[in-house]
Amino acid sequence: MNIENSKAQMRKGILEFCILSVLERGEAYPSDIIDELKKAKLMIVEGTLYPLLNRLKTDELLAYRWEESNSGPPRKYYSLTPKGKEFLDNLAETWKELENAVKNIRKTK
Amino acid sequence: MKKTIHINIGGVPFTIDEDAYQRLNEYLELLRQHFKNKAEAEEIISDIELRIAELLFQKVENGKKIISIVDIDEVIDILGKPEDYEETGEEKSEESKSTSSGPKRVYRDEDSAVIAGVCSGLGHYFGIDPVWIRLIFVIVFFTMGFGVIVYLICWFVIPTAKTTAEKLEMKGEAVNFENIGKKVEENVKDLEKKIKDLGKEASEFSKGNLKDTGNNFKNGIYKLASLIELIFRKVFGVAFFVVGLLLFSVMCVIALNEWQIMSFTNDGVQSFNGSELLGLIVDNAENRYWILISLTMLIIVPAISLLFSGIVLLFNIKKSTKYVNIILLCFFVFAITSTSYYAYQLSAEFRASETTTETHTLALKQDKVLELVNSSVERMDDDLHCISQLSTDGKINHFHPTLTIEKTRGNEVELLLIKSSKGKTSTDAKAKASHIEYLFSVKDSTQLLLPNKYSYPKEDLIRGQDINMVLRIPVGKIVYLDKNMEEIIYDIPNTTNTYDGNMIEKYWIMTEDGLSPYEKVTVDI
Repeated sequence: MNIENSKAQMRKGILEFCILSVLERGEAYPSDIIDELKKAKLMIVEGTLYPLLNRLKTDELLAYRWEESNSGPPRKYYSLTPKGKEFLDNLAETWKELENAVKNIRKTK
Repeated sequence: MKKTIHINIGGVPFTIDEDAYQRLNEYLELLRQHFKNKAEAEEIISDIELRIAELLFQKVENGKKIISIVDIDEVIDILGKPEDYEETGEEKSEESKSTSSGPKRVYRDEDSAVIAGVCSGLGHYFGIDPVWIRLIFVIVFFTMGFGVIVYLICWFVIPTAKTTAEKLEMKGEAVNFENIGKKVEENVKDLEKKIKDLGKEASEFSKGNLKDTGNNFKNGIYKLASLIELIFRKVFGVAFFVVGLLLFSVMCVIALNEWQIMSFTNDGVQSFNGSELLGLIVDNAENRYWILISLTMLIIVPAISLLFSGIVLLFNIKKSTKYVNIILLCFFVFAITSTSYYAYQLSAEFRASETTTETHTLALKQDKVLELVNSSVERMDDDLHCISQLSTDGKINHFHPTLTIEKTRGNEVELLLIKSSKGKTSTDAKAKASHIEYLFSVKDSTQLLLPNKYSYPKEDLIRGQDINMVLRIPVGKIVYLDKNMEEIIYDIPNTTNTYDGNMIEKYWIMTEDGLSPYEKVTVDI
């Protein structure tokens, strides 16, 4: 069993939750999100983010708008839609449950 | 010294080293391969491009003037290779059932090669086990030997898959007619979607980023153009390949059989030996050899270049064929030059023209009808008029001497043999004309036997030797034309303007006005 692989598996599920959480605090463009996720050591390579953002957008959990940048290329600012907010609340609840569950199991060990 | 390129990523201009540009391109191609089964692939990639632009822009802001390969490697490390992407399970399953619809090209697969990987490469291309392709090549090899030539051409033209992107392209979706159709359909759908999206996006982007809308429209046009190009590529590719292969094979067969040329006649297929015929025209063996080589090349070289361009078009091969083209062109120029040289040299052999006339008085019974008989046993095929034949006794036989009938003032029947020939000089031509042999004879003092052939020594070579006969008969003489005389008589003037074909098997009498039909039924022979 490859430990890196297991870690990656765990991160995968949480990544979506974290992206939505970052955006809950307000609009952000990919580089902002990347910085946050990197700080939290949740992301190994940036390429992972783009397909995810795209999927969340297609599922109408996210919306975006373009903004010209005076230093570099135009930026795509993402924000949560009401549907996304609802989805995030749902996930947050599940997260709490999971956190408790894991805590309990680890305690009993 | 390094070549740099100006590029535009996400609307930001960059100056970049050529090798760095190639690295970047390969990376984007990998991404395209990775996302190709996703509807939003282009959007994801353009998002990633924006990020690349941002990362590179930071470097430019820090004083970097030209983007180098090291910078690109750094960017790629940050963004990660597709295989490092951590995707959710849903996407994984999508990937596992993926078959590509990306660009596919034929490459030689040296990883699983037996000789040079041509068959395994073609196997990938057509999506079948290379064993079958190898089998076909082997069968073709044993039947005609062309398998080797086609294999060698493929080996030369088809590049090896070296980079990952090329290997992916090689193993891309199989190209068969079904998939070509599918691909065309996809492109059309994509285009439709593009045009629909255009309206939507135009309003979305109206805030500022008009560049993207323009790009999308351009993309649509580009897609349409590439679709048309794809169709043309396949159609012309197949046409070039088939015509080239056909021409090539036919020429090979002809050349290998010493120019045994088939000709189609009323009776079916007849063949004559082209190199033998050439031997009767050109006496120098070395010259003959070069003439045959030039003629063969004159046809085979264009055939090979057709075959080449066919393969290049059909399999979308990117490898430069510049050197091949130059080599082929050299061969072609050589073939044209040498053919014209020999044609000019040969024409000199035909410069002079001379005639000699022999008059033979025929010993005939004065009051009898003169029968003209074609004494040749074999009947000549109409389509082979001009063909000469080398007889067993070393003479060249020609067929179809011509005969006409005229009035004479004297009492004797005379046969004039007008022999003509061409030659280098007039002495040469005259000698050749006098060498022409025509063996007519008189039988029973009533029949003139005329063979349908004349001959001359082989050493004289074919120099347009010809024989025209004039039969001069006095007024009142009656002639009968045998059935097979049709092959010899030529435009005999007569008072009724009867055609040659209608003059045979009839009696004709010489009058003051010319030859007239002789109607008297009871003929005294």
